[in-house]
Amino acid sequence: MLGAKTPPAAVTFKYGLMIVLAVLPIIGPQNYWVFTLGLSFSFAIIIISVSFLVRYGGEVSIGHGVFAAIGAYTVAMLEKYFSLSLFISLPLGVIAGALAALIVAVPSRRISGIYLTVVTMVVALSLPELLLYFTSFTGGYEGLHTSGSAIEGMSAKNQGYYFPLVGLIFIDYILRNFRASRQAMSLLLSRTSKLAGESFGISGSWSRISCFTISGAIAAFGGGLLAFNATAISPNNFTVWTSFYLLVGSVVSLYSLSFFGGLVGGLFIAFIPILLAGFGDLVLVFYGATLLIVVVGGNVLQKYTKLFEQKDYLK
Amino acid sequence: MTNHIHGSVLSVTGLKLSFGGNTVLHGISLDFGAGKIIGLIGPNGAGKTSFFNCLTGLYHPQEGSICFEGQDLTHTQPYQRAVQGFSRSFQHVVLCNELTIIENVVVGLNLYAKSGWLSAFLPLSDARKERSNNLDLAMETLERLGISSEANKFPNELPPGLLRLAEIARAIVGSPKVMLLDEPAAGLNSVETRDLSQTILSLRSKELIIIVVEHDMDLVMNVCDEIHVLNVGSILASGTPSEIQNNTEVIEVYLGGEL
Amino acid sequence: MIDLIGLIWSGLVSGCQYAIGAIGLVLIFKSCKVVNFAHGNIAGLAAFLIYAVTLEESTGINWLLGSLYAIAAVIMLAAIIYVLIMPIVFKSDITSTIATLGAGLIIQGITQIVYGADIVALDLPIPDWRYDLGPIVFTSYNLLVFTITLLTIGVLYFAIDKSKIGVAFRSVSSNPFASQVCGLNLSKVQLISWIAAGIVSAIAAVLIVPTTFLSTTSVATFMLLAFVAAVVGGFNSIAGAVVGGLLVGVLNNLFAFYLGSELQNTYMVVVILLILNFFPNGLMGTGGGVSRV
Repeated sequence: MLGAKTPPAAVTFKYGLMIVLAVLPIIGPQNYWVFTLGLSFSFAIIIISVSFLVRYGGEVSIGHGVFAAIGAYTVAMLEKYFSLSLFISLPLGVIAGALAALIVAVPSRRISGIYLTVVTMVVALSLPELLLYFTSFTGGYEGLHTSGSAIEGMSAKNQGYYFPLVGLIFIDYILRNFRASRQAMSLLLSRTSKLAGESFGISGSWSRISCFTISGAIAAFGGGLLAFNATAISPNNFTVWTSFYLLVGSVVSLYSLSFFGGLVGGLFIAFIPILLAGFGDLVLVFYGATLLIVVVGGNVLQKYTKLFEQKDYLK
Repeated sequence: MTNHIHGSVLSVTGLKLSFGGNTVLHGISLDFGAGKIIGLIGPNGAGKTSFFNCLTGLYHPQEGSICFEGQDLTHTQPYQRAVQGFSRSFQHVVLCNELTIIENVVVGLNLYAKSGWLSAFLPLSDARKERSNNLDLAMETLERLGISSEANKFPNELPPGLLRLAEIARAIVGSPKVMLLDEPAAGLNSVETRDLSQTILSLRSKELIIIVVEHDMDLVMNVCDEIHVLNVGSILASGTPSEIQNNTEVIEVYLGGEL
Repeated sequence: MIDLIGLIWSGLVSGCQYAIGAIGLVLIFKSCKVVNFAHGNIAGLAAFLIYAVTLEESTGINWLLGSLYAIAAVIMLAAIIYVLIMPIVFKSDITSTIATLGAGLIIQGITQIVYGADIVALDLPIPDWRYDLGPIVFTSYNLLVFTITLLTIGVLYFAIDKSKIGVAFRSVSSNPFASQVCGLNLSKVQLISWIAAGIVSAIAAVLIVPTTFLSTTSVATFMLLAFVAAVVGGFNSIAGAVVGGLLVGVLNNLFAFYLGSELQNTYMVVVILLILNFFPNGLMGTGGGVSRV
């Protein structure tokens, strides 16, 4: 077996959780919470994409809202202008996200650390401008709507729940496979030391570009599903603040790439604004405090326990 | 320099390296032949590390050339040299802490792996087969170096001696043509150094050039067939271990050192 | 051509503002290798504090009081943030940077809670004066900006070059470990650079606000371009911050005039990516963003 073995208890917990979530819409309360839970599955996927870049690339992005937006807008626009179903528009959205990530990754392949983080932030700043510039396609300030329905026989509301859930399970599955692959191991060595990677044929450029592209693709996948279940998207959903919040979710989930970890992050991003509704500005304070607590607190914990021992992806 | 060279030769000719106005290497010419273990020693500041870095591709010399199997490698990047069959170990062990020992070794086979991106995410059979072959190969190498029992451990669970062996396993698993060892005895105690010497000796092969930069005289004298002594950027002396040990100039330069 | 000169001139003026903003970022980066994402938010809060004090009467005295009040608050904030992140600064630069982002969000939240939807004009208490030299417009405001920028750079230059703390600062920024070995108190030097950066950012805020309006987000938004300036100039170079700031100011103006202002940020992205492609460390930077193994 490769890699760290997941303890059996954790595996049981995970599948148990999936089953509970699968039946929740049927047996649970039929209200807004289910819809928000669906949103959190999509957010979870996007948050996992941010964590992917941290785990495999050792880089922090505060601009991933861009790739999520590309996925979201691709799905929405393809439905609006070509009546394409999610089954076609989502893969196309993923490809679009991957391409966009490639376009950002190539010229920035030699930049790392703080410089790269600032660059991602600046890229995120340009997104709302572009969306508003091409108003005729993107619906400008008002954004676009989606039908939220891709198959017969299930209510749109339930589809908006199950599609992202399946999506999240799918991402968890492929990333677990990925960890065992030679590419993943190469990326991890390259992250530890670019020179070591290069000494074994793993070029720094390849590592950066692959990592970024995969991350962008996953973000677009989540974004597309977000458009599907939110049924309405606008530039307001994808500001630079969005990207900050995605990072908060990623940090809260401790950069987890798993179903449960991603879900924790997604729940955080989806539910805090609701719980603090009416005190919108408190959301900022809450997120900021969370970042501080997790980051500084995690450091304190590391001194005294083995809890965070291997979490030094970002040296 | 050397009498009969069978197999590949790594030729270094007239290597000159400067930083700013400071010349660190003054036109070094050496040939490294296959089937040999060649040592590079010298006092601190002699230019050993700089020379080593020119070989690995981290530094590019202002003058001179490095040729191997008909290719001029002088200005190529490290990963291009890896493609040419170079591998190395590091003075401070660089293993990925998130990968188990056997996974770290498998990375040494990455250059020769063929599985594509699709099979990285989906359980396709061709990749599974390749993975399993690579694991077997890695395991064989770990056995060869005597550390197969540590295969599934993580680097932070092992002492420096075993980590060094794991690094060498990674360097050798892909059957390199040139293996560069950067102060392999660094951080090891005398017992570990002795085990390391045995290990390096066992790796000698007709198709492999092993170059060792080292401070530890025990290791160097036990392991090397040829030794070149560097001093202030030039070759002071070259020869077999006993020749070097009896060379008065070398003794002078290393006054107080352990020969 | 005339237009061009005028644009470049006003670009230089706003460039000075970005430069001062960027200097604050670079000061902290040089001493801690941390990018202070709370920078813009602190500056915004400082501006609002001055506004609050000068609300009744916009006199020189009130401005002075307001500025002192704001500077005191900024110093306190900067010190608090530094103390919070101090333990992780020595462990990981990116994690500390994330912590500053957290601090920034908190400060932004507090600013919004206290000052909410206020959108106000904050004019400097200087006499109105203007002189046109062809396309180049001299106003009391422009001159003030240039003067303050030069003063700030001058003071910093002398402090860093000549003073004891300045030498310590230079030593820490080139080799923190060696500095510690030589007995320098790293924390003290870093704390001072944070405080200095805070003061500089308060100055930047005060200079920025008269040109637009003061809202809870306007200063932070402005500061985003200060980040661009710092990256372009090289994050570990103060001279680079100035060059970067001026460049960003001028380019921004030129883009807005010749290409329309709807895609300003996008053009900036292209500029950044182009510059970093050829100068991975910025125009005048050295070394990398974060040192790795």
